[in-house]
Amino acid sequence: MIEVSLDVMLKGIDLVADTAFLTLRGKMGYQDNLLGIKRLDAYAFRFDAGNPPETLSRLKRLLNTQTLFYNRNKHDFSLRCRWEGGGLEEGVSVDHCHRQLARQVRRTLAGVPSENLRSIEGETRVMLKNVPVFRTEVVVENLDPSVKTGLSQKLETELSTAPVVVATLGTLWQLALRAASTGEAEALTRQIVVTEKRDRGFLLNPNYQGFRLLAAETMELVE
Amino acid sequence: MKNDVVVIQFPGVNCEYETARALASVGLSAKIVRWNAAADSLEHAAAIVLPGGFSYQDRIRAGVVAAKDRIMDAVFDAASRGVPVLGICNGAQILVESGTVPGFQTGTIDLALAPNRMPDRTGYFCTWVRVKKGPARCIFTEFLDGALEDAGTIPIPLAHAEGRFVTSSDEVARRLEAAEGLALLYARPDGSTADSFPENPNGSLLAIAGVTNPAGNVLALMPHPERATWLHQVPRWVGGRWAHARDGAGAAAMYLPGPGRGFFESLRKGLRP
Repeated sequence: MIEVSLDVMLKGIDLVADTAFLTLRGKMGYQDNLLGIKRLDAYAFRFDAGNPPETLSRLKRLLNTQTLFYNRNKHDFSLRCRWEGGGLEEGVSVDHCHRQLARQVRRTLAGVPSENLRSIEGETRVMLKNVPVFRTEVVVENLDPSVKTGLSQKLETELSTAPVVVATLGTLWQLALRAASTGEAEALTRQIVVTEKRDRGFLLNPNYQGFRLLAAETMELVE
Repeated sequence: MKNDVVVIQFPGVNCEYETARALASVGLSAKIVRWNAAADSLEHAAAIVLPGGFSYQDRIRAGVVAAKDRIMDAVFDAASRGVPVLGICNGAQILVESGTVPGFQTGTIDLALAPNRMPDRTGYFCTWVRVKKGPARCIFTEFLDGALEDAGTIPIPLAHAEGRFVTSSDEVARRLEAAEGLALLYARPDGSTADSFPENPNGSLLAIAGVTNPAGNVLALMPHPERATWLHQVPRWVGGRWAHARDGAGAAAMYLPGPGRGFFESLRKGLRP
């Protein structure tokens, strides 16, 4: 069994993420809590292969020659593959996304007086008025199973292997949130993500999309 | 602006002028108002139309960014007061994402317009279909009868990538199945409800083409009636009464009414009985 995860991010400006940022802060009242937001396209799938290195070389040829997942001219990617007795990791998009989010947080906090940013000696977390900043990650997916079926059929044809099980096909949002605790950061994330009311929620419509919270951790002061 | 029909121009829409012309073709005075106009700009509107296009480039999800604009508070208030509100295509997506329809629970997002579900293809789909009146009363379909073909259908163009009405709520599905809110349904030429592609072009739940609110003054409509305002816009391959009329009209088809005008005519009759 080979497990593959692939995260794809635009190399240039991501207008969709920027629009989400401006809408949430400017129109929906999250200007005190939301300090940054970035996104990647997230894919995860698995399949059986007798000879993993050979199948992976077919996969990499597919990635390099087709635009099924990304276009190398405008996207960065991170590819992680694991199989019994081996593994492979390459690409930069996940690190790139973390760096971009940290940069956006710094830009957002640029006008904040420095005494408000760190008050605990030796503290390496981003702190705003003694409240930490969390990075939360959610993946938003279309709940229609036919969407994943289409991708698995394409992969089965291209990789000459079956069945290919697509576990994830969606958008991975990374949010930088000012919150008192992990629980509060998670609750805030859910509130921002799920559109329940006209004035509440934004990133998914629960009538055809779902989400999984993947991470909620404090952000460090890194360059 | 008093008693004008207000057409709201969100950034990225592209049907506002032809929608205003369609309204003018039935004698209604139409005024195009920008999305960032003063809060009271809808106060005296006789009716409001949210036109088709790609507001905010369909970023995040079609219609959702415009749904958060301040002017939508005024649209929501106007709809609550009984002012007729029509959302065409992207306008329908905005009405759905703002919870203005189906309106079973105030402001709750009970529906979505999900990506089209079509055999062997994905994404944007552009064609002419037939629709028929659903059981729910609505000001935009109430006086549509003059435009109907013998089978009770009306040919109309559509063009969208996200037009499949869906709900995750059993209660909302139950109420829709009980015919609440069903203003317009995709239909076959014989008048039967279309349950499959291509007559139901996007896999919409219950073949819904248009949803109204309980009061019947709001309609979220995926097809584009303004693109069928004149007879010459009807393609011959559509067949039926309207295509036949176009063939017989010759050059006069440029000026004669097309099937889509019926929706605007219905609004006019609803406003000025």
